[in-house]
Amino acid sequence: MTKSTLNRREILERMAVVTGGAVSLTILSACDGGVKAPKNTENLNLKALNKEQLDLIADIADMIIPDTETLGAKSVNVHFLVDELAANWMTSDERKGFLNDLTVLDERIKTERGKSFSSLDNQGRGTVLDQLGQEMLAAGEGTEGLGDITNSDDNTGRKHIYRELRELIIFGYYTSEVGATEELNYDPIPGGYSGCIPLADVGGKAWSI
Amino acid sequence: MAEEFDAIVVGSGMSGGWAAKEFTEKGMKTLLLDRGRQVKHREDYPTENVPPWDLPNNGRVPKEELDQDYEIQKMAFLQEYNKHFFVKDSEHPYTQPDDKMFTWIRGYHVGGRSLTWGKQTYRWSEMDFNSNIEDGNGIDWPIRYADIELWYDYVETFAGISGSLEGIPNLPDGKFQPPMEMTCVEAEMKKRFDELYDDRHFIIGRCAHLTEPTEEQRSLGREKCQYRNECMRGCSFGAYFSSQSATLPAAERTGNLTTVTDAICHSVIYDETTGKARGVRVVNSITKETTEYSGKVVFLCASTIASTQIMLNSVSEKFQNGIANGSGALGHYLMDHIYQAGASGRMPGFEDFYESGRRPNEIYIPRFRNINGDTQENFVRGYGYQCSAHRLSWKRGADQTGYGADFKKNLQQPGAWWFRMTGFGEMLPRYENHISVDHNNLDEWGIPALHIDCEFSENELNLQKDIAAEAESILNNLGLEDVSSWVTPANPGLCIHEMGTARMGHDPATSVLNKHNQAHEVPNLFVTDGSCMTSTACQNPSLTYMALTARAVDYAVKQMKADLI
Repeated sequence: MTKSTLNRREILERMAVVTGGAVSLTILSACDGGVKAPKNTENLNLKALNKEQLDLIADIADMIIPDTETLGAKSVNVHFLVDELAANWMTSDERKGFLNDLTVLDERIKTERGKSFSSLDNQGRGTVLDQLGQEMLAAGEGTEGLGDITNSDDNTGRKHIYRELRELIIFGYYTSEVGATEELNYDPIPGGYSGCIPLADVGGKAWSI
Repeated sequence: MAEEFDAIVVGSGMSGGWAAKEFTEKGMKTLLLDRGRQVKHREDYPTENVPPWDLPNNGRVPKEELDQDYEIQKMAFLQEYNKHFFVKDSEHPYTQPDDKMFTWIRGYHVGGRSLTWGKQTYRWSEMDFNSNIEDGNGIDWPIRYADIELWYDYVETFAGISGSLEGIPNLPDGKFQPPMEMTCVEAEMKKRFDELYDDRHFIIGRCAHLTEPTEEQRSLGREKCQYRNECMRGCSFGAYFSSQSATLPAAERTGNLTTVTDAICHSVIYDETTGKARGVRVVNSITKETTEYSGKVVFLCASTIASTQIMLNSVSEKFQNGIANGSGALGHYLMDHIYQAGASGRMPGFEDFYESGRRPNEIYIPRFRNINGDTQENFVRGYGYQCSAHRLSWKRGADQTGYGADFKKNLQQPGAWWFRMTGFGEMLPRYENHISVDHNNLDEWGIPALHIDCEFSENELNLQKDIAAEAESILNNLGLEDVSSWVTPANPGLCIHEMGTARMGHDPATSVLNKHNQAHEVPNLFVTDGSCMTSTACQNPSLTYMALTARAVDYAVKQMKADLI
């Protein structure tokens, strides 16, 4: 990888000379693959979710994509992105339904398990997710096997709340800086194309984009 | 009126950029008008190389914004990173019948759709120019392959087309830079395909990306493709062909180009005494001031619907139904390609293989229907497939029920290989499919309201069904698993290949333009965008617009020098 990076930089530098520096600095800096720390979240004001809803999403996110050798979804603050998406991206009708379903889910867990999702231990949380997974499948909104050809990212309209949360959490994590650049391989300017390489050559990891 | 230009070019996209380059390089003082804002190469690509985590909402356009501002544009490729290259439908509405939708996808800015196009570039063949006369749908083309062949050579050499030499009679080879590679699975499928199908071809796509730039391309600041596949954000490497990367810098360096932006062309001014176009009337989109520019020739390159709209709005004593419209064909015979059908399947195995880089190109399976002895009962013409095989990404995780460290580990690896193929089919010219303007209903710039009335006919719908059925059959024959096909109810416009509303023909009684893209009735008026197309073939049309434009300018300049126009 070092050699191709060098080539890209050479090309960019040559272009910068040719174009009188017109190649943007963002492109040059992208070659260096710098990584930002997760944003400080202490003073963030919530835009759509309430505290209970935020905690529920954070801990479901922590179960789906936990910290391993890399940080997981909760640690990179995916729940705050979900707050943004609920406030900005969803329609007002979708947001209303989504927030309502979150509250119903939160209350249902408290009724059935005697405490909030966040207060459950890992085993208790797993039992809840297993049950939600079965409900999602029963609603015809998932597959246990390979996932379907659309790459399963359909996010039009309302769906089962767990399917919606999964889509938002997974999207949020793998489009975060940590998810995209540390957990997966990230190469903003590949420079060349090889149609068939051994997967081992890239450490067995998928490209994030 | 002030200065008189040698040439006025309306529109700076695919065709207009070429007209500007050709005129200025031939020494002609050229005025290039665009109705939209300036977009400077490199400077005005605000999202280029911005990673998803730095885009608003990680790149998701708010759904209410889509519904309110982009009701039609949202059906195409509009994303957070390229929405500035699409119009807001809320600001530029048009009407259509309740039961017939035509989705007009467009961008109002310098460079037009050359910034956002698909970049697939295929020549037409003799078969395509012969098709109308052979099956009786539409009028005969006034040109044949021999008339355009050298112009294809010329524009391909300048634009830079990557592709492989294949010797396929109905998809002529061109002047190619080296082809892009196939993925492991595509290469395996090609092997199986070539064993199974004698008369069909499975080839790497031909596309307007530099893989081995020429000195001429380097001199314009263009570099080879970096395989980001983020073309629709704009490309500072100039690696794909756009007006910004190629034709406009070539025109600018001649010193003969004047560009005026935010200039909505209201109409072509017809001079009753000379029988020629005197120039154009332009409304500034911001100040709403009207300016008239005069020129010795006028080239309309504003895109099919827009150029035709200008002509319909160019009313004079002689041409009460639009300039050069003695035939009554102007505005009629609107076409697109039919699309939105295909199939996909999973290729088992190949788990240890992957690709490196993001290839902005696909596989092409050229037309095989109704040629080489194949005869279809329920449709004429045919279609080509654009396809690719890649591994599934992390997006597959949403539909799965897994969670935890093992799930995370699984999503860290690429998923199964899937092959997906989509057909692009020919649409026949029909008089009923037309656009019109309402002179009693003007927009804020004084432009008459546009009405589009267009639908697919049975021929296209039958062809669309065959696209899906045959795709499914091919994938099953090639040994793929979990094969399924789809046919989505289709409306024209979505393929963004609109054509035909000022068609070329031999006869002034049935066509608007002659074999040189010159209006039969107004000798210094030319139209070289998709309006001129007498039929659609099934190939992506931009390369043909480029060749026809360069050819028409060559003719016009010779005529001007001989004082014939």
